Amino acid sequence: MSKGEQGLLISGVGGQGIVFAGRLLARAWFSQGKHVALRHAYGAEVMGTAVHSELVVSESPILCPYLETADVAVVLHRAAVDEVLPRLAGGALLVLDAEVGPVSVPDGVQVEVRPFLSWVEEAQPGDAGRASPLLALGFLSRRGVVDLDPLLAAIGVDAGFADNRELIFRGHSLG
Amino acid sequence: MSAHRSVAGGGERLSLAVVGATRKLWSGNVAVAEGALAAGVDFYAGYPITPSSAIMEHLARELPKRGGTFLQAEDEIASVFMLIGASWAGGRALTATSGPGFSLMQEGLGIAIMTETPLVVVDVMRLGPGTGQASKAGQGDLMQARWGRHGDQHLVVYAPTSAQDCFDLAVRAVNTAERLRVPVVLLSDELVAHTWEDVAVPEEVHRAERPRFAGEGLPFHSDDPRIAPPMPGLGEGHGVLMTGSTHDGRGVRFTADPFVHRTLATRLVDKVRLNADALAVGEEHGLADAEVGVVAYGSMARSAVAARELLRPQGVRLGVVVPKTLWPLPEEPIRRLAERARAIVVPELALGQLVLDVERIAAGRCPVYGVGKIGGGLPLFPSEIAARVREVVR
Repeated sequence: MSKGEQGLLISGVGGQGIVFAGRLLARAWFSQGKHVALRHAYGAEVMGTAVHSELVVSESPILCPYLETADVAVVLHRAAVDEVLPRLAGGALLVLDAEVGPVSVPDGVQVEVRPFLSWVEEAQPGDAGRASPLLALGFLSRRGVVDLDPLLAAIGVDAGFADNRELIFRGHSLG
Repeated sequence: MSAHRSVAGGGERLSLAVVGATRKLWSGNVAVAEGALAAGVDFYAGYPITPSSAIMEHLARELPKRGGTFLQAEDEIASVFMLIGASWAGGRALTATSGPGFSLMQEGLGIAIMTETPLVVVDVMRLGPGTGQASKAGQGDLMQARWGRHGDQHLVVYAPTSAQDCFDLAVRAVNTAERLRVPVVLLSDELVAHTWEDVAVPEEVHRAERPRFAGEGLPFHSDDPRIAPPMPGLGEGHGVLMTGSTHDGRGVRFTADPFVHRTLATRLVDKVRLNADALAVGEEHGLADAEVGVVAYGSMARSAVAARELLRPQGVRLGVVVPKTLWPLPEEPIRRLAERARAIVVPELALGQLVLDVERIAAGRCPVYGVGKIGGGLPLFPSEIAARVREVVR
């Protein structure tokens, strides 16, 4: 990353809402006047294989929008973890869902494990996977990666608005 | 001299991003579609293909709302010929495709060159040959964009590096097509097309008008080859002869006369070649004190500019030239870089295409090294370009 740029990776499995989460995060930063670049999975890989949303955010224009190493990474399915670990920057924050299981990370990487999936399974039976990225975004807002208000605003008022807000609040409390 | 400047003919601004513009978060593909709409495109015919399909999807929604016409054709051959018909009926016509579809459009592009038909083809490059890796980035269509038709012919090729460029150069492509009566290729790639970024959208953009036939002059003759002849429109009351075979200034076929063919083919080539200085656009970064250089286009230009920042603290002074027309190329800054630099590196998501032009332009002033990376849609990252630059400096 160039000076002043932060790279973020949200990863999971196709159908889980990883692309949606990336778009929310991009919209939240963009609404604050930050420069943002987003790339996400599309095409055949979106169902059933590892899926990533890659973001770069900066206060100044972004030189290279293609994420080489991530300063913050969220992994919500074990299918994605092997593709994420080699891309962590030194001193990165790695947020793992508890069901990913134990992983070996490079020295200096800070690991946070939270039960995103299991919490959603209890609170919203039948839709655990697709809600977990919103919990993770709420968690990131608590850690200062993104501000809570623009994140909530980015959800908009479409179907599921209230439930999505609740998930982000819940994720925030897990921080 | 500033470290970074845009180079455009006639001193005009290259970027349309101006104070007071509206900020949008758009993918490159959406920005192309919106740029086309801003430039007045009112006809689209196409066949969906990854990774260009979002352009078609966007225009399928937006064109009918704005009084335009959208058609899903049966294939890419039909698409480009529908554009030719729409253009002769007075429309501003654009289509988008990717490698395999672009191959199918070459015949129609040749006809469009010969008939001096304004139209724009967007090729969002993916990995070929064949169907290759359909959803993955590549830059292997450069030579096809320039030379894909048979016969002596030139057209204009623009190459965006960002979503902002996609908007700006879509406008420029439409205007160039109209002004010069020439087909124009907007050569994007998957990385540019699917990256969502800030785009500054001006309230309005300049729309160039094609020279209109009003009974004066001839529709296929110009005393000054740099200026396109006046174009009649179907339904405007003028008899229109239009053929892909050799024709005289009136449009009458002459398929054996050597003088008629020589006159026509030379004028069509000269229309682009003699306007090269005005058409060629690009950016240059830090050429004034460069000890080593990079020439990169499209998505790889972004990595090259970031590599320059990586190398600066290490004491390596890298100059970068970013051509935003691939034909005609902005040759002067590349030549200037070759005179200064100890070597030039040309990174591409291909196995060596732009590097051949840079070698030609450098003409032995300094060594030129290609760096190719293909497969899986992975970019050449700034660190990889910086590593190669350090190698050649050593």
